[in-house]
Amino acid sequence: MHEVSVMAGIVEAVLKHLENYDVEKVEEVHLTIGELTNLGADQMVFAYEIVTRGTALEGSQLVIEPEAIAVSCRSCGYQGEVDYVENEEFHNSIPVLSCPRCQGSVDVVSGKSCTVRSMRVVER
Amino acid sequence: MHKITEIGMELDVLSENKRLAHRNHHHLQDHGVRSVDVMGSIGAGKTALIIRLAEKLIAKGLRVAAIAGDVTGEDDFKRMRNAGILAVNCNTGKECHLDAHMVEHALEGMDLDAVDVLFIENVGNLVCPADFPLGTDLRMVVISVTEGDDMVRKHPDIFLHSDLAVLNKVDVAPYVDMDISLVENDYMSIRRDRILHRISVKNGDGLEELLGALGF
Repeated sequence: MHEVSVMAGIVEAVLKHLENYDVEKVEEVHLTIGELTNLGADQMVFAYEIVTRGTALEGSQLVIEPEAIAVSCRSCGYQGEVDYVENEEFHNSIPVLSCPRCQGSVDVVSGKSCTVRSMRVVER
Repeated sequence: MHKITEIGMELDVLSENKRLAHRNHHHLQDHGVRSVDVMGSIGAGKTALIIRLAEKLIAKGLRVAAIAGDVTGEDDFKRMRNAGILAVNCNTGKECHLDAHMVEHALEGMDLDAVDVLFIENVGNLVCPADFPLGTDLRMVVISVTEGDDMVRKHPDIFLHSDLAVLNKVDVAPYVDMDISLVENDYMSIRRDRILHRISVKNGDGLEELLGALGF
C-alpha cells in the first residue's frame, strides 16, 4: 500500500550505505518482506524501478524473499511457524495468529519487518 | 579484473515507526495512561463507541482523553469534546492512517498526568493502519453490520494485527441481511484464541463486556 514511500526510504538508505564503499556497479539489492506486512512484492519491484532512476542503483535488480511468520505462545511455550487457513473464500492463504499446538495467544517473533539484507556489487 | 562482492546491511525499513511507537508506549506508561488504538472502517461507529465507553469510564471516576485522527476536519474532535472527553484533533492532511510520529506530536498538547485512559481514533481504513503501530497498550478494530458480512475475509491483515475485534450495530443486522455468524467464523478461523465482540453502541449491548476485555 505504501510501497513507493517505503521504497524511497530504502533507496535513500542503500545509497547512503554505498558511500562507504568503492563500487563500480550495483547488481542486486536483497530485501526480505514480512508476511504480516502489507507490502506487496510486485508493487515493491515497480516502485524500485521508478525510485532508482537517475541513481547509482538504476538498472540493478531488487531480489525479494518473504520473511516467514514465527510466533511464541504465551501459554505452552511453543515457538515456530503458524497454521494457515486455506479457505478459498479468503482467496489467499491466511496465517492463523493463535498457537498451532494449544490455540493460545501468541506473540509475533518475526514476519512484521521489511529488511534490506545485502547488496551484490562490482568493486572498482 | 572486477570483483563481485556482497555488502551486508540489515536495515529494517519499518523500524523508525516501531522505534517511535516504543517511545510513545513508554511515555504513556510513565504517566500511568492505559491506551487503545481504535481502528476500523469508515462509518463503523468508532467515534460513537469511544464516546459511549468514555461515558462509562468517566462514571467509574476515570479521566478519559482521546486523539481524533482524521484526514481533515474537526467533526469527531468536537463530538468527543462535547461528550466531556479531553480531546486533541489530529489531521493527517493526506495520509490514510496515523503513525507513531503524528501521535507523539498530538501527545505534546495533552497533560498526561490528568489522564487515566487514552483512546486514539485512527483514520477510517481497514488496510493501512495495520502496518503502523502507535505504541498503545491495545489495538482494537471496529466494523459494523452495514458494511457486509465479508469484512474479515476481505481485510484479514488488520484483524491479525488487532488485539480485539468489534462488530457494531448488531441491532440493525436483521434489516441488512447480515449473517453475523459468517463474520464470526471468519474471524475465529484466523484468531482461534479470541472472540468477536458483538456490540450495539445505540442500545448499549455488549459494552460492559467490551470494557472488561479492555481491562476496565
